[in-house]
Amino acid sequence: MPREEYAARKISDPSRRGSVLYDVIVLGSGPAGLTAAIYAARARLKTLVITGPMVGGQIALTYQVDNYPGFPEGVTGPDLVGLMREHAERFEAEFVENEATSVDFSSHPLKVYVGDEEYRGSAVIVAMGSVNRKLGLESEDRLMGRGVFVCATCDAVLYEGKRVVVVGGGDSAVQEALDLANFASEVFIVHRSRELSACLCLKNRAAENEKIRFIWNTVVEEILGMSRVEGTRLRDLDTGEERTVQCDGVLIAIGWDPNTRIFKGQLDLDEGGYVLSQTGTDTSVEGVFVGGDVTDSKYRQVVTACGSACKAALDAERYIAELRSKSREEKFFTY
Amino acid sequence: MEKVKEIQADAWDSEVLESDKPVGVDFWHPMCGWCNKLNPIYEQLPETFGDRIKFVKVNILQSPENNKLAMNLGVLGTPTIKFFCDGRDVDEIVGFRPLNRLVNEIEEILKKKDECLEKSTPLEK
Repeated sequence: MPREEYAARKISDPSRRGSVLYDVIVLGSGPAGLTAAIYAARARLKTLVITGPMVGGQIALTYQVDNYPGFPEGVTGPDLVGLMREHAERFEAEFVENEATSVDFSSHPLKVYVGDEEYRGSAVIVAMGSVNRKLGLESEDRLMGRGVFVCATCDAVLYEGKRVVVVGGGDSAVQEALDLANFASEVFIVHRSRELSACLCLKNRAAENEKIRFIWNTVVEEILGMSRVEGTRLRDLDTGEERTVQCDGVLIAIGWDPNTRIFKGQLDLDEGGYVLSQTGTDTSVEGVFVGGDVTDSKYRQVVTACGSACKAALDAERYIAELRSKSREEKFFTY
Repeated sequence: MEKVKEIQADAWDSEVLESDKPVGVDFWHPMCGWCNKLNPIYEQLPETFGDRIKFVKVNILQSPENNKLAMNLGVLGTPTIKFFCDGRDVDEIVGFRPLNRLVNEIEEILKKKDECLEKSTPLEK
């Protein structure tokens, strides 16, 4: 069937979705959520995806993905998740483009709420990924989009010839610094330790880049400026000494936190907020499965997110098959 | 009803500065996820506001001139919607908003229309 037809096919009346019992509700629409949707829908389970605030998740904000198998020339993040969504729609997964605001996993069927709207599912797959960790400064919120930013892909072109401070030392911080160095006049990587935690290939590229300088063992105390970023106040962790670096932009890349706020009190979470799982896909609630970065503090790749969400969908499929066979048995023995 | 027009830097004066009504300008580009999410919402604004304000957008990746225009206006993040009144830069909305919040914020900005000349500063060209 041609692509346009998948998109044009009307799957079910959105106004009636609340009264439908879905086999599987997938929370999240990044690579993990979309893979879970592909597997569940292809297994002919009635599948609903509640996308979250950004369809496609974090990867929709990533310019180039160079390590997803099957794309030898690389692929842009939006294209990759666009194809994954089409793939899920081909098997008739339904989409609600909104954010789940709460859940009730205390009884079956499981319930997910988008504001006042209730969606019911026999199984739920949690694939809500992670959100950018913040420094936690008032100035950070106030100046967001006014010099404070989290996505070099989106905004690097606006920093041509400018000085930018990148906060962080992991893969994403160094990658963002390298992207920025194509435009900015100077890039300072401010890192709280003495060594980058980024992979060797990125470390080497950053070390060789003339525009990138490092400020080690240092944290950001304050971002300066009223309506635009004018600088940052930094503190050396050894000496306690403070100093001000003038800059036009501050890119924050200090890592990610699992997006699990709505599951507090509903699912067992670890200290970092990641969903706890014994088998890798199960959770503390029967019928609720988990996949992707929301349960992975270690690998966090597109392909590992897809892989773990695939396992979650296969386990959800098995769970629903067992539910159905149980209900058939019950019917049989009541005759 | 006038639709949202995609304009280029060379039409800036005629489309924005010389406009006889207030103008909202969305600085965006196609690789920006939040811009793509804002786009369909922004497209609904002419219908909501009618003749009270005109809406245009500038793709900052389309040409070096467009990018320079955004930078000269102090745009540091996408999407940013800047508002102009009688050729002067009066306000801005930075980042994504759902439709109802966006409409409310623009209503607030339009209230300032009458005082915009006193409050604003001339643009550097």
